[in-house]
Amino acid sequence: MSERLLVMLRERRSDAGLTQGELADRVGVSRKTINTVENGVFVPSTLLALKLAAALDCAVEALFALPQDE
Amino acid sequence: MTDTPSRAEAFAAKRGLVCLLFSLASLAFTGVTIMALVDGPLHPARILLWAIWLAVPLGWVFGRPGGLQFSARERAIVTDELVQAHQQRATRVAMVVLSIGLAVQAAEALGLVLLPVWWPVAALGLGIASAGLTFAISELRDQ
Repeated sequence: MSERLLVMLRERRSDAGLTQGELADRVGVSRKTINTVENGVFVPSTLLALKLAAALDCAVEALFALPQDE
Repeated sequence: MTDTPSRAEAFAAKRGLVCLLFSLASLAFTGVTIMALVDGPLHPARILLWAIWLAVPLGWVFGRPGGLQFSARERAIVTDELVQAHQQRATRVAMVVLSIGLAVQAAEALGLVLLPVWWPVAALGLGIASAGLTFAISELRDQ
């Protein structure tokens, strides 16, 4: 099973015109957590993924996806 | 946006460095305690001081800070799921170190090896310091 995860959070956040700190404030985590999620260092829980999607007004699949070539 | 999380962000930023310093201090004081133990029986005050130096990094790693000064929202931020992942990693490392120490101690009990008198102090000090250092490195790396 692949452990890779495609993360499009940075692009979606930029499109929404938010900084990492502002997004972190909206979902109730630290800016550091947002940064590590964007860089693929940390895989968020389902709960945080849903909160991020709600804060950016998009589907979770628009933020995270499995690689197609696997 | 609110200004409320800024205090929590500031705390989260310095937590890794503080943990690193206290873990190193804890390790150093464990060394001092071992040297004192080699010279003779430990005075109870020295044992208490060593226990305090072990408790401080543990508090910084596993404590839920800001009980008196942070709001519930700020406390949630300083112990968010990334911090919890770091705490779990620190726990795993500490358990490995402590288990090795305990296994060697058990081997001595079975008469397989002969350990110095300071072994339990070293094993416990190293186990706790390893938890603090692992947490600190994880926090600083993800800064």
